[in-house]
Amino acid sequence: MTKNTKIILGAIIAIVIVGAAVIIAPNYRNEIADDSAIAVDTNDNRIYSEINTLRIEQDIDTYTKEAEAIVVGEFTRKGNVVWNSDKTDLSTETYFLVSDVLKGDIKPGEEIKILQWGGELDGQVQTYEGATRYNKGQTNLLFLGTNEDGEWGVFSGDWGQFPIDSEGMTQDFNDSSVNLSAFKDQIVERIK
Amino acid sequence: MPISYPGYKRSVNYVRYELNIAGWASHPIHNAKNTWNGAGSPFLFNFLGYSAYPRQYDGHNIVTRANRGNNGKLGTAEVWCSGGSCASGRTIIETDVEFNDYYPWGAYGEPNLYDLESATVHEFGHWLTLNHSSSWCGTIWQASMCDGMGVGQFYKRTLAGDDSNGINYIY
Repeated sequence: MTKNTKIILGAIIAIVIVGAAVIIAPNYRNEIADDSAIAVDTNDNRIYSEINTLRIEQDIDTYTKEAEAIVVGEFTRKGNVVWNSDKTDLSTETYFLVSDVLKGDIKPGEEIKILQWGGELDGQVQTYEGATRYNKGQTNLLFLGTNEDGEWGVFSGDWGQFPIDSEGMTQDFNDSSVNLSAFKDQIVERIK
Repeated sequence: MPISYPGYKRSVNYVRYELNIAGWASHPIHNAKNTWNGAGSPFLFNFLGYSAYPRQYDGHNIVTRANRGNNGKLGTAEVWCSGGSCASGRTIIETDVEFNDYYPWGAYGEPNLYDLESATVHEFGHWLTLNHSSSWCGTIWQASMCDGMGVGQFYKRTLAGDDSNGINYIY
């Protein structure tokens, strides 16, 4: 092998090595940068997460069957934010004064605690897409289920929540405007 | 466009995930991975191996299962971003998925069970930060990113045009 051949061969090898480094290095750097980042807000030191859920398809037959209780009640107040038993989910306690019970072992006149998805506690914030939202004093028809700790929650979040307006109207499962009495009839018919 | 994107994403065009689904068949998860990997985007879902990590902020992208009771939630996709809340311009640093095994799941197209592959395609879409598809889902419009799933429902296994457009737009 002549001296010139060796130089050319060396140059080719060098180009290949540098080329490979250029291709691989950005990904390697990004991976390190990705792993070293933290989800802590530098302003308030809280850890935030966003949660999306895949829910059971919204359908009056399924929801009436799967719900452990179906009630009409007025939202009275919020309580504490609490963890579930294995500290994976944050919930906010909400309280309802029940006026009517279509299904389940709850009595009219009872105040019940219902966990709302999401909240902030211990420096952590969980925000749920599809969580229920309440206005104070507002009456809602609610399909209820229980979580793994046996606590009441609205079945499928805002899909199981039907706010009643001041004229007694709500939107049913088909997004049609319906009065509360007629909506209750649709549900009771399916419970029979 | 029926599917929206909130403006934050990963800094790299891949995600490496681990499985903690003891007792469940893993092929529905792998099939879902392959579905997104075949969408024409450079973004890749890579299976790293099996582990025992739960859904929590710990540096591991986990697909797991747990009994969350009768709350109507079939699956939960949780996303953490650098610097705090996920907002436009922020970077995703961790993503987990948890399936609620209170409900009956199927891996082989059973008509009376919730389809694990369909649900995984959907939840992986959230890892890409795709939001839920708009109204009329399931009737006129069928896309993997439609919210809501019934037993014996399989259309989410196949990406609709807007699902594919979504990943290709983001990455």
